[in-house]
Amino acid sequence: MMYGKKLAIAVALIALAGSSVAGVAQPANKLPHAWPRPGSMLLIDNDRGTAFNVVYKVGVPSPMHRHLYDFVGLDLNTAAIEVKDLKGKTGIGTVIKNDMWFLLKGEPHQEMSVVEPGRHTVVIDIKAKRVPEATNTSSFPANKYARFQRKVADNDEIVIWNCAWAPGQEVLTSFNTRDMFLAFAEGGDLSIATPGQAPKVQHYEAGQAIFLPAGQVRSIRSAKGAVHAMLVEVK
Amino acid sequence: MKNKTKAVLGACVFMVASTTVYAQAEKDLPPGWPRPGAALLVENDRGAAYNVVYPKDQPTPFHRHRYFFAGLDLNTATIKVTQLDGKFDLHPVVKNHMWYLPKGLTHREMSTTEPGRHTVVIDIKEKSVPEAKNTTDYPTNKYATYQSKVVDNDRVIIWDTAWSPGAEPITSFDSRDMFIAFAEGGDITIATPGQPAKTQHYDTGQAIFLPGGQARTISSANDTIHAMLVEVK
Repeated sequence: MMYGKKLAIAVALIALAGSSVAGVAQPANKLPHAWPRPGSMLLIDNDRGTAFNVVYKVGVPSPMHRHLYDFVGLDLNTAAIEVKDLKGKTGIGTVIKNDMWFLLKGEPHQEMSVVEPGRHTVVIDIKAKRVPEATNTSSFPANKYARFQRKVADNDEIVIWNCAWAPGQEVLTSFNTRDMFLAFAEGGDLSIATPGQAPKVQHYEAGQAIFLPAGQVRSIRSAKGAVHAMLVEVK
Repeated sequence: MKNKTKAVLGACVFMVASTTVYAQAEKDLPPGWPRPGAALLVENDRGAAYNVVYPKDQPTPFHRHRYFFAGLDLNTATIKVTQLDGKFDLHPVVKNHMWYLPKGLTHREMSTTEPGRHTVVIDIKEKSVPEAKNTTDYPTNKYATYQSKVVDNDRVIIWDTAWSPGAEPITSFDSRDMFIAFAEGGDITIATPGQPAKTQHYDTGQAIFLPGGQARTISSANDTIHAMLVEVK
């Protein structure tokens, strides 16, 4: 509930940008995609999606762009962003650390941070490919990743979960029916175990992202640090 | 058979005795705060706000919360919660999470990872005040363009609110007494129609109280300000 409302704010910002595009449809179609661009760093790219770590420097506007994919995002800090549409109409919005959201492709706009620190996000473009959900043939529950696990969005493309793991907590083992991305809001040492194999412990920083394929049983836990992440199941 | 009965009887007596001891122990426990690590921010007849740190590996005393309370987590951390019977659980807490809990909770807490948990908590006092009637032309309780309801019950409404500099300010009639606890600080301007605006800097983790029954415009003077706003019913 806490995170769902932020989607509406993000949508409102983009709607502002898209509100006057109809009259200039042709230029909008020729605009570049949002990323890559200066300030965006590719984290992962495969046939299910592309994750970028993106910074919006204060006073440096992004190019006017059009999103080619529906996309999800995680805000890594609290910041103020000015959004400008093709006609030059602007609005200032607030983004909040740990906000997780889903936005639709297509709305042309330009963005710029207006106060320090500039906005910092992880975004994941969701590719068009769809994969049927894997059947859970194990005795484990499906898609139970963490004891702290809250649904943020659920639509025909994705499910976004707000997840956190604390070291020492009782570990959940579950069958993961869908391909998924994890984007870290708070990093730490994360242990991912598959039955019959040695657990793999890896350190992740806030702002990193990983991809985990579907159809496997896994136990995810924190080996060190309170780890907080946006987990995106791709349908 | 006789021995079995005796054993069951003994177990029952033990359970009753234990329950009585627990009940007495619960009754005698101190409140959640004040305590070392809890700094009083605001106190009046509507509530008491504290900034509370939980240093790693330093358990709080066992305590019983005397009031319903609202809270805002200032960081992401791990907390171990131990019940009177010694059972414990570990939980992650997440920065910017806002919540409401009932009175009567009895436990002890301890951070188990760095950084230790850091919160603002507001005990909600028993006093209840009727909502002030809005006799102005302004909307009621519209504080910010970024405003989203987190909790609404018979004692409080908790709003997740934020203000950016340059965003269009909203003037509204504030029908209820309220506390504002800052998740992200900055210079905040509060204006009342007919009076000069007051700008004040607040750091993350501070809290203020604003009385109900007034029209106000709240805006950010130069930073992105994020706060938990608690209307007290």
